[in-house]
Amino acid sequence: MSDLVEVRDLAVSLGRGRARREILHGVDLTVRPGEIVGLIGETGSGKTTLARSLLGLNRIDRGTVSVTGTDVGGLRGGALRAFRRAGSVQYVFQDPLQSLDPDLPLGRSVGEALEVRGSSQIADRVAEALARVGLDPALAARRPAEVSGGQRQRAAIARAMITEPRLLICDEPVSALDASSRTAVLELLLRLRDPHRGTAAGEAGRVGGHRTGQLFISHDLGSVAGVTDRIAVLYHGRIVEAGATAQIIGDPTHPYTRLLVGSAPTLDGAGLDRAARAVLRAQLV
Amino acid sequence: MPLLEVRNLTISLDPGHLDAPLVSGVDLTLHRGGTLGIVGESGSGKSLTCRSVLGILPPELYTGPETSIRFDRVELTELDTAGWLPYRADRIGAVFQDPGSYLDPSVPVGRQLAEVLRVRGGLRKREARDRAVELFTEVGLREPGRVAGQYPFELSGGMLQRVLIAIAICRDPDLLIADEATTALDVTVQAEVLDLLADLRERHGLALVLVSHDLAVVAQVCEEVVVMRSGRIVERGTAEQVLRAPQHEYTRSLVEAHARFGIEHVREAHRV
Repeated sequence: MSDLVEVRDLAVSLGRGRARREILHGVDLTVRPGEIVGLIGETGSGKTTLARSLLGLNRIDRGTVSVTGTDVGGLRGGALRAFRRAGSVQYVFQDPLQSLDPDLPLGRSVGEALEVRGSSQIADRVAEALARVGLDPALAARRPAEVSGGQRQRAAIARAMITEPRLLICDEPVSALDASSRTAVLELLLRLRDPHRGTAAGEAGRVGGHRTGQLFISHDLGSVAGVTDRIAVLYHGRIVEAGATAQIIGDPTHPYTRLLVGSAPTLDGAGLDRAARAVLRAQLV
Repeated sequence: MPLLEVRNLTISLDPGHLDAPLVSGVDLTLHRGGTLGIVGESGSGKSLTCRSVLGILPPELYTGPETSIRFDRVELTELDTAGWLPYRADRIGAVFQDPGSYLDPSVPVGRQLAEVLRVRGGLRKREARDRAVELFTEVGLREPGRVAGQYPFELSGGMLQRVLIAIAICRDPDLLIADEATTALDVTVQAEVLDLLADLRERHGLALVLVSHDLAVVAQVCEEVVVMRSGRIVERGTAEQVLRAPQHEYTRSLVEAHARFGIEHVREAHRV
């Protein structure tokens, strides 16, 4: 069985004319079913460009992008729309209002994809989707402004999961949330990955007989390391290091990764002292 | 004698203080050259607390009749706007989360700093320009002379925050308040700015109030920590005490979140 995401030697340029610049310079990335892969990088490193490429939203200069077995790099027009309408790839944004209509009750937004397809028993499936993300189904009647930020983000995840996607792309899903909501959303993403962990709620991740893979995009390695199985570090448009999370955190080799791991505030203090960070910064200039 | 002593800070939408206050009974003490971290999430009252020390509460909010804010032996709550100005402008500096919004987009950043030095410090135009470049050097901006001639949109978030820090310290204040000043920055840049704040504190004997939603950020820089929730202080102690033996349920949840999802957890697992 092929991997959910297979990106090989991907190069993408953005902008027109003289402003055109290559953003990704030959990137490799793999996401397998049932795993959470962290894509870590700073502002401007190319994380979002890479994510958009997985949705077929960028013309590619070089390389291949295969998502759920489809060569999305080559899709155009109607074929691209059909791929996106199939709903096998879903996107969760930092700001849930990018996917939830502020004027619609949450239930309508969550069930929209089913409505478009003319599915039956929409209300039941919406209630089930809300329960799956730990929301009271009664919240279906509320508008986004009438619930907390954490509840909004969970509703956005319910909307994404209702199409039973094979790949869920989460772009900074907890960066705007307070500590308590952040923990709840991270726990939810873990449950969606691993249907065997926990009890009834653990069944949440088993959708349509396949295991959803997740690409977790974040600038903040320190706060998401606990949910990822593997990490790819993107720096200036290149993957400078990739591997098992424990390997990257415990034994980073590239100077940027070492600086990143050594800069993350932890309860034991940052991993590196000021002088050590200064040395790494000098190597990167 | 503490540099800053806040007693029974209460902030409310109601001048009669009959409704539920937004901030209630907050006591803070900070000595010269000391560091105090305030941890809390949005709505906890941490920013309102900072704003009341700076005398910049929104006009629809009122501090309670029992509230006392003493800075270097002066009761700030008794001052009128003009009386407060020397404190806010000269002796207490502040930086916030979104540095871009505090700068004029149409004026080069060096000129904005020089303007403060001329108006508040009485420097002449030429002196102010030279001093601005010195201050940019001090806050770690590379090529400070070139940066001084640049407009805010030409600078990264980390550079803008350094510009704001230069403006905040240009009058050689006794106290610097950093309210979520590193929150919007990339992790490696956040570490640089935290290092800078620690350096400035050592070099100038600045007292520092560092406000963040992230307990680990605060613990990295501050000796004393208070945790706020729903307008009240729910826990206080040394950073060590709060991290090792959190008493309040909320503080425990913050520590556990780090332990479960942070790199501490992964690092421990890797060592075993």
